[in-house]
Amino acid sequence: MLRSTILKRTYANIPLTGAPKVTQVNNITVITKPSVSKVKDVSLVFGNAGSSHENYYNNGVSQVVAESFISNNAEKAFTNGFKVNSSVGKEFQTFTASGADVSKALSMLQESALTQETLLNNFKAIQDKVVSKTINYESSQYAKIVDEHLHATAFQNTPLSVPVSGTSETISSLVDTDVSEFINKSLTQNTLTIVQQGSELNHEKFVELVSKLQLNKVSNTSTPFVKSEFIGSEVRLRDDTLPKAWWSIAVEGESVTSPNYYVAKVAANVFGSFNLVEPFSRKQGSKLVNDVLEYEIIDSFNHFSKSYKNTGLWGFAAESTKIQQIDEFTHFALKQWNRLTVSVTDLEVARAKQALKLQIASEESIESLAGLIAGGAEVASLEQQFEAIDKITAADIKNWASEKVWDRDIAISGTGQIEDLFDYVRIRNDMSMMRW
Amino acid sequence: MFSQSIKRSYSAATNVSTVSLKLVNTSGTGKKQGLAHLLSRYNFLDTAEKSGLRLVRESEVIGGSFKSTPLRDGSIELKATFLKENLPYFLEALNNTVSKSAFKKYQFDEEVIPAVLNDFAKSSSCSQLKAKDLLYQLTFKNSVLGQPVAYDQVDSISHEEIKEFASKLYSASNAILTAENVEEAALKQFIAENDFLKAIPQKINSSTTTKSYVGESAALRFASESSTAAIAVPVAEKDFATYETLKNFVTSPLFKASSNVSKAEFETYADKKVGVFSIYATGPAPANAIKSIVEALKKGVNISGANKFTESFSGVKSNATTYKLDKFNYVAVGKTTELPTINEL
Repeated sequence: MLRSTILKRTYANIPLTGAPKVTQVNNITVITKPSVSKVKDVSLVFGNAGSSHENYYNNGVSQVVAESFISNNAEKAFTNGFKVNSSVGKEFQTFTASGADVSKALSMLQESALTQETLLNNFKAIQDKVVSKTINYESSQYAKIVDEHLHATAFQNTPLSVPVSGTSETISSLVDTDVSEFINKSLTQNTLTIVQQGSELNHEKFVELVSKLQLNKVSNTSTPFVKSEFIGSEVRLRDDTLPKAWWSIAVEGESVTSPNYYVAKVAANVFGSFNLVEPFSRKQGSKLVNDVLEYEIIDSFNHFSKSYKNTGLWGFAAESTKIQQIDEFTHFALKQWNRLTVSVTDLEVARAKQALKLQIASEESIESLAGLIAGGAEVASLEQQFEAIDKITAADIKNWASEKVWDRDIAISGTGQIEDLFDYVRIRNDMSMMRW
Repeated sequence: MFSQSIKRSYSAATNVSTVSLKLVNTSGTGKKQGLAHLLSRYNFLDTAEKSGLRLVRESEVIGGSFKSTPLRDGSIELKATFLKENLPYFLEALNNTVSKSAFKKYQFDEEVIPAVLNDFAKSSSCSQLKAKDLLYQLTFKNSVLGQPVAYDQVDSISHEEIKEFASKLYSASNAILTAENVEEAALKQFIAENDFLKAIPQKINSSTTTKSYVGESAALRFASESSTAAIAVPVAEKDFATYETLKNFVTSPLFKASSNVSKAEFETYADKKVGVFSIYATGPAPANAIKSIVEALKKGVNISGANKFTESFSGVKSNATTYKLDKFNYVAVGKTTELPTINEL
C-alpha cells in the first residue's frame, strides 16, 4: 500500500459487519457474509472433500486439484484484476476468486473449478510442482507434521488420520484418472456451498446469479459419511539431528455441532499461547505461564481446540530447545489441565473468553468458515458467537473438563530431540491426581 | 481494580477495532544505529501511570493486544487491536506510552536488551534479510534509511540515549493516528480529552528528500543453506504508482521470469519522498535466476496487464505501460564466488 494516502490524520469509520444471510437455491446453499474488506471474495466450498475423503493410496490428490486450479487460472485471473486460491482442509476444499466484481468472479469459478476438464489440464507439470512443494514441506515444517501425526495416531485407520498435505510418495504415484475419480466422488453438487464475502454486497442478486449457474458438468453422487474414532495412542519420530523438539498432546475434543464447542475453545484459551522471548507474552496472567517462567523450561506452546464433523482434538502443541525439560513442561501443563476440573477460577475464564472473542473476530477466514460449513454447523454472526461465549461460566468449564479431560486417554506425537518425552503411561498418569 | 476509563464502555457493539499511532522520524537518528529498535522494545513497559505488567494483565481481561514495530526510517508504529467497546482504554494506553514512559534502567537490561538481541538474531539468520539490509545501505549510504532496522550492537547505546531519542520522536507534531472500525464520535470525544492525541496536527511537516544512490554493488559471504542475489532501485515520489504495478507484474504469470523471483517488494517512505523497489532471487544457486530477471527487465516489459490487479488489490490507479530497467544496485549474499558480479548482469 502506498503510505502517502495515509499521511494525514484519518478517521476511517467502517460500519459493523452484519449477520450472514443464507438461502437455498437449486440444492446449493448460498451465503453472504459481510466483512470490512473492499476486495470481494467468492468461494465454492465443497463440504464432503478434503483429506478425510482421500485414502492412504491417493493421499494428496486434493492438493493436486488445488494447485491445478491455481496454476491453470493464474494468468487469466491476474489480467482481469482477480486472485485465485484453493485451500484444502481435513473435511473441505475451497475454490476462491477475489476481485472487484462478484459476478465475474462467479463465472470464472464456473469455467475453472466446476468444469472437470480444466482441472485436469497440464496434469504432469502440476503433479511435479506439488511433489517438490511437499518434499520441501516434509523437511522443514516440523510443527505442522507433528500436528498431522497427532491426528494420524488419535484417529488411526479412520478418515481424519489422513494428512492434509499428502505425502511426496503418494502424490508422485498418482495418475490423472485418480484425480478425475476423486473430483467425481468429492467435489459434488449436493455438498456445494457458495459464499460471498466483502463489503457492500447484495445477497438477492447473488442468489439469482447462483441460480443461473450451469452445473451439468458437476457430479451429484453422494458418498456415505464414515465416522472418525479417537483412540489413546502415541507416535514418535525421534531425530537428534534436528535443532529442537516438537511435541503435542491432546484428548478427544468437541465436534463443530457440539453444544460444548465454545466451552472447549474457552478452556483452551485459559492456557492460551506462550513465547519465551516476547516480553508481552511473559507477563500473561495464566498460571501455566507462571509455572514455566521461573526456570524458563519451554520456548513456546499453544493450546488448541480443533473441531470436525463428529469429533475433535483438544490439547497443546509445544516446541523447545530445552530438550532436558520436556518432561517438566509436560507434567506442569497436564497438572494445569487437572485444575480445569477442580479449581479453575472465574477470572481465568473471563480472561479466556475475551481472548477467544478477539481471536475469532480477528481471524475470520474462508478456511475457518469452511470448517464449520463442512461440519454441518450453522453460520453465525459475530454477535451470536460472542453471545454464546459470554454465557459460559467457570462451572461449565469444570463440568466439561471433568467429562472430557480428567483421567481421559491421550494422543501423543513428537519429533526432533524427544528423548525426554516420557513413555505413554507416565504421561497418562498425569491426567488425574490423587488429591483435590 | 481497573482505572475509571475501562468502565466507560460506550457501546455494546461487538467487533474488533485497531488504532495505530505512527511516530514519523523527521529528524534522523544521528550517528547511532538501532535507536528506533531499542525504543520500540521499550514501548508498553512501565509508564508513570501504570506498570507494564498491569497493562498486560488488564488488557488481556478486557480483550486486546499491543504491537510496536520499528521502521527502517527510524519511525515507530504502535498498534492496538481490541474489542470495539474498549476504545478509551486502548487510546489511553497508546497516549501513556508515547508521553509518560518511565524508561527504567533495570527494564532496559532485563527486558529490552534480551528482546532486541533476539530480534537481531532472527534478522541475521537468513541471506534474504541480510541482502535487504545491504541493498538499503548501498542505496542510502550513511543516512538513516541506509541503516539496518535491528540493533547490531556496533554503537553502544545507553538507556539515557533512548530516552533522549524518545523525547524528540514522541512529539505530537510527528504523529499520525489511524483508526479502523471505531465509532467516529466516540473517538473524537476521547481525543479531545487527551493532551497528546489532541495536539496531533492535520498534516505533519515532511522532512527533506533523502539522497539516494544507484549503480552500486556489494558482496557478503554468508554461511547458509541458501544464497540470495538481489537488485534494488530508488524510486521518486512521482513514480510510486508505476513501481507498485511493476511489483505486482514481476510476481505474476505475465512476467516470463516470474518463477525466478523469490520476493518483490516496494516500500515507500512518503514523508522522505522516496521509495525502494527490490527483487530477490533466493535458493541454493540463484545465479541464473537473477541473470534471467535482470535480462528480461533490461529488454523492457509491458506492464499494462498488471494495472487492473493493482487497482483492485493495492488501491492504486496506474496508467503505466512499459518499464525498462536502467541502473540498479546489486548485492550477492551467501556463496559469493558462485554468484555473478554487477558487470556480469
